[in-house]
Order: sequence, then C-alpha cells, then structure tokens
Amino acid sequence: MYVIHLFILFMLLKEDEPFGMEDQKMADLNHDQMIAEGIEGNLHDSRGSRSTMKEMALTCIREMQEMLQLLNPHGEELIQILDGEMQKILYPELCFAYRIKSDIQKSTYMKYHLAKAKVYAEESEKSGYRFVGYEDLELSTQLLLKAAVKRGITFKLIDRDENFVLLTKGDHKEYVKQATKTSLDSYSTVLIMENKIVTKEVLKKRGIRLPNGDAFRSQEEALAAYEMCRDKAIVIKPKACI
Amino acid sequence: MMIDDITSEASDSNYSIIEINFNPAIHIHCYPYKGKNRKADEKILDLLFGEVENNYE
Repeated sequence: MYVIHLFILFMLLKEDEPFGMEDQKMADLNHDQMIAEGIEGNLHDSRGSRSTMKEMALTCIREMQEMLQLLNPHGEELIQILDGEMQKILYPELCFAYRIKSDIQKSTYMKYHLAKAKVYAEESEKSGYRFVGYEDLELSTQLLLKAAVKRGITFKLIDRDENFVLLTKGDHKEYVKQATKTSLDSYSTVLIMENKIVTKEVLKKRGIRLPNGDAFRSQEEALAAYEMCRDKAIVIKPKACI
Repeated sequence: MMIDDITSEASDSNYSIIEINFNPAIHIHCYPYKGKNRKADEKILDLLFGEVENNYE
C-alpha cells in the first residue's frame, strides 16, 4: 500500500507530458506485452524509446526515492520499502506471484491453495476477537462493531478514546459507549448500579439472593461492626461501583 | 455470581449475586477460557436493532 501511495504521489508531482491517441495505443500495446511477456520486453513509446520495461521500472523507483528524499528527508523506512520493490524487479523470484507459482508447481493448484486456506482459517479463528484496524479500541467494542458490520449496520467512531460509537441502519441510530452502555439503560438504572447499597436493596426486593452487607461512614462504626463478623469471610469495598 | 455447585438447581441457599456491572466487558463471554461463544455482541444488537434470522449459525 505504501508503494501504491508513493506512486500516486509521484505521478501527481511529475511534470505533465502530452498524451494523445498514439500514446494511448502505445499504452495498450505495453499493457498487452506486459501480460504476455513480463517486464523483460522493450517499452514502446511514441518517441522511439529503446529501454526495456524493467529499466523503466527501475528508473521510476529511483526517481520516487529522489522525490522522497526531498519531501521527507527522514523517511528511511519508505526508502527501504522502495529498495525492496527494486529488489523484486531485479530478482523476480522475490515476488509473491513467482513464489505462489513455483509452490503450486511443486504440488497441485488445489492442494496448495487448500493448505493455505486452512492455515489462514486457523489464524483468523485465533484472532477472531480482533477487529483489524481497530485494535486500539476495547475488545468489547471491537466485537460489537464487527458483529454490526456483518448485519449491515454502519458505524462511526465519535470518540475513539472513549469507545463511543454511533451505529446506523437506515433511519435507526444508536449511540453506544463501551459496547454495553446503550439507549436501553434508563438513567435511574445507571444510578442504581453505581451505588452498591441501592443495588443490594433493589435485588433483595426482587427476591434475588445476595450476601448480607452494611455500609459504614466512619472507622469507629466499621470497627464496632467488625466484632460481629470477625470469624466470617468478609469483603470490604467502596460503595461506588465502577 | 457465586455458585457452590453449577450442576445443582438454584435454591434459597446455594448461590449469591455479589455485584452487577453496568458496563460489563463482553469479550469474556464471546471468547471464554472454557466453554462456547455466548454471542453477547449479537444479543446487544438484537436488543438495539431487532433480531436477525439465522444470526447465530
């Protein structure tokens, strides 16, 4: 992708050359020749060029590197990426296409691709909890967004750091924070759950079993109550639930 | 939730809810250490946008 990006930049910055019917014919010819014979063949152009496609490609990359040095003198990484591309032109056996072809020839087309598919399926299964490109979000949000995409629900990250998203399907919009805070939570529910004393009260009223507990506002009060449960298993927590 | 023995039916004395999270993490329910994916992500979307057929295949 970096190479494509750089190439587009390079084309944008390159000085315009005249382009007519004849040039388009040459381009078509080059295109066909490229497919049939690869990059070793001669490049056709209306000015009678004698260079091969390979030489042209190498020149292009060298010019791209010059461009990079002007635009971004510290862009060592990008220069190296272009070096890598240059190597691929000089040594075609480094290209993916070449490697795939030679591996297929060692086995069969079906066997080679099926084996690859199995490896990739396993890899994808292993990282199924990830949403590529959104790894900085909380895992819960990554899962929710992935599930949304599968249903044709589009999403927008409103505040990426806060995992605050907008999900949209048609006219239906839902604001969701941290995957589970939604418009379905009433304000009072949230307030109740933030407070352990109130939560316990609500659950108890509904017949749900919970451990007995007490809230204390001073150390003296707590120490006095401690005598009652000294020999029992106890947990001490702040009353706010975060 | 604290449970003495998950194979026995709930009674008045064998389980206890110790707290409720209002912003629970769902990935632990989708990719548990042991057990199956409970698709908490799909269920949230069901609630917000309505259920989709054959979504849990």
